[in-house]
Amino acid sequence: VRARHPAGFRLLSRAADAPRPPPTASDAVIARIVLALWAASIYAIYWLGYLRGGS
Amino acid sequence: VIDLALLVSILAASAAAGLLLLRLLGALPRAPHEHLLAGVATGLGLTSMLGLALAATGTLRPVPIAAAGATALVLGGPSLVRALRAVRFPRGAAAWLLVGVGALLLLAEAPTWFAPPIGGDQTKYHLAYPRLFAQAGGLIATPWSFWGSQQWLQNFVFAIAYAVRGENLARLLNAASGVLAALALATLVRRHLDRRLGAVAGALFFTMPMCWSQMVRAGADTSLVAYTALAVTAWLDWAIGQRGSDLRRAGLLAGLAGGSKVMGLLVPALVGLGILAVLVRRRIGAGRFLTTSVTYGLLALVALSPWYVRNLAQTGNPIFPFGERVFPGRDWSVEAEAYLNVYYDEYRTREAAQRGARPYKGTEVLLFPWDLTMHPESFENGKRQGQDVSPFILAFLPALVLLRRRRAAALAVAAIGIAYVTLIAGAAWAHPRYVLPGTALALAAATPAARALCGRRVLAAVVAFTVAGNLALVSRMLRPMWPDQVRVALGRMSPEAFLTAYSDRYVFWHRANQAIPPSGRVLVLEKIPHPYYIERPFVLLSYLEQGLVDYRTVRTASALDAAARRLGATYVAVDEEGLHAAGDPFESQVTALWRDYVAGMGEPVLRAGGYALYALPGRTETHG
Repeated sequence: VRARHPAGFRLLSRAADAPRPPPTASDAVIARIVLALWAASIYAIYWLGYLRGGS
Repeated sequence: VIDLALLVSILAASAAAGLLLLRLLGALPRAPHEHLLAGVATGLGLTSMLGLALAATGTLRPVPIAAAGATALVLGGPSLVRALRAVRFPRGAAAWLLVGVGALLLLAEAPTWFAPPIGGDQTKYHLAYPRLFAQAGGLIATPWSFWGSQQWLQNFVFAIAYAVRGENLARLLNAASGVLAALALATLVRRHLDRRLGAVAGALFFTMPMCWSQMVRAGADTSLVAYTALAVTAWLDWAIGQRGSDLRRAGLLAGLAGGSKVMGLLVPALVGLGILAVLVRRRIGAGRFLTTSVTYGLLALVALSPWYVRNLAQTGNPIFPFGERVFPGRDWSVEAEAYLNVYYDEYRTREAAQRGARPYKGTEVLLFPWDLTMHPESFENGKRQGQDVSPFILAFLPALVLLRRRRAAALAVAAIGIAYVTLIAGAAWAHPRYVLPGTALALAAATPAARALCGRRVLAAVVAFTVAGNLALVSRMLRPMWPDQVRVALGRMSPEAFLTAYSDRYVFWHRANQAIPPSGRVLVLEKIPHPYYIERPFVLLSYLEQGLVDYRTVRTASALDAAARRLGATYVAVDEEGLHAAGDPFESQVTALWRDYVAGMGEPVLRAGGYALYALPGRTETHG
């Protein structure tokens, strides 16, 4: 299928209709690690704010 | 005990009336065990409408209220009994543990409802005007303060409480709305996102430090959360089953959310867009598209309209004092609204400085979720914990990308929540309390997302840690008042002694009420008056909150004196510290005028708590 839009505009191209390759196991693991780090960081910064602020 | 018995009676009569209406409309939830919650919420909306109708007809008295309650119980009693029998209690030790934590927190909050109200906006308008209406037995015009027009669904429930009993009952009904909000969120999560996580979402919301603030101070925000969550639940019910009953219930409850406060109008708008989105996605025929949209829109409009119609009739502006250019209101002006915005800008600037920033401009508002979580103190003058929403939502909402089960429902709930927060923060005011319905929906969506990221065991630890942290922060808000609130509740401290210890305004007005004869009328010169403790006829003449006396034209002491005499004033009360305020040119002009005016009245009759009371020469007889 030939894309109507230049490369990089995948969502707007006909190629977007083509089935996407399923995410690999490593993609899922990386996503989980990033999200877990984000969540842990939010909790850490939040509580550090209280501990430093003393309120 | 009498207050608790009356609370149960009002809730029972409301639920009976609500269930009856839902049955008549054919709008009951499909599952019988969900009838009670929908019935109570709908019924409290009807109770507020009753309060407004009685006030509008000058019959806001115990007898008509009792008659209406008895009628509701007779007609809707059988439905109420069936709904009570169908209630399903949580299952599992973990759910009961969370319910137990909530019950203990409720027990800790209870003493605050039995001591006189202090703090927040309750003595400024949430309780002050409902009490005035109840004392008068009907609506009274308040051209001397626009807060008399910022009285919505919950405020007229308070008016009923004042007419029947008093302030303790009003605050018990406020707390009932908080419990209703937690139960509604739990229902949304259990019904549409993950049936194992309803109690988790309810507990995370109910223990949130900000929720404590809303439970111990009367306001309109928790009832808005309850109606929002129930409307979104009904919308998702309809999206799944396409049943007309769910559509009608969504319209009714979204409308009641719109009647809960002006910002609540976003709820029927967003749920309406959600309905249109489902109709478009399902490629429904034009006829059904039209009937569905009109059914929803009409029901929402009818449910939200009573409080706006009242404002329209009294002031000429349904959302008085806002939108003055579109709806010119009586005793108000475009200039007065512009000055209100100047004040709000000053307020936002002062508070944002606490996080070393300035109010958001343009895309800076994208920082709001971060600041809301990390710097909740930078939005309102008060303790940091008072606006705290816990780190749970910011930490786990991104994990929505991991969701596989009921992904569309979770994304839909998150989308409505985020849209609410974005529109309020971007177009109105980025303030934790104003975005609370959106925050609550985001919390609901983040709960299954956290489960998807953490798994069952780690989620249990995260929830335990979050709830424990919430409770630790709540415990920091107990000082200084809570021990004395317990003493008042137990009868070991008098309400007067409590008020004397914590409220300068009370200290002044308690003595001023004795100094002013019952036939007197006091003029209050204060920028942001809290009229709750005034027991004599009064007129508020703030330069911020009224346009009856416009300080753009009344610029001399003699002109102000003439206005005061026209209003029948015999005394003038002044906030002495406020006489020296000079935050902007208009404020400087008005406070200079006030100083000039009181200087011509000689020595004050009374000076206490930072306020002074002057007798208007030639108009007064001293008393007490």
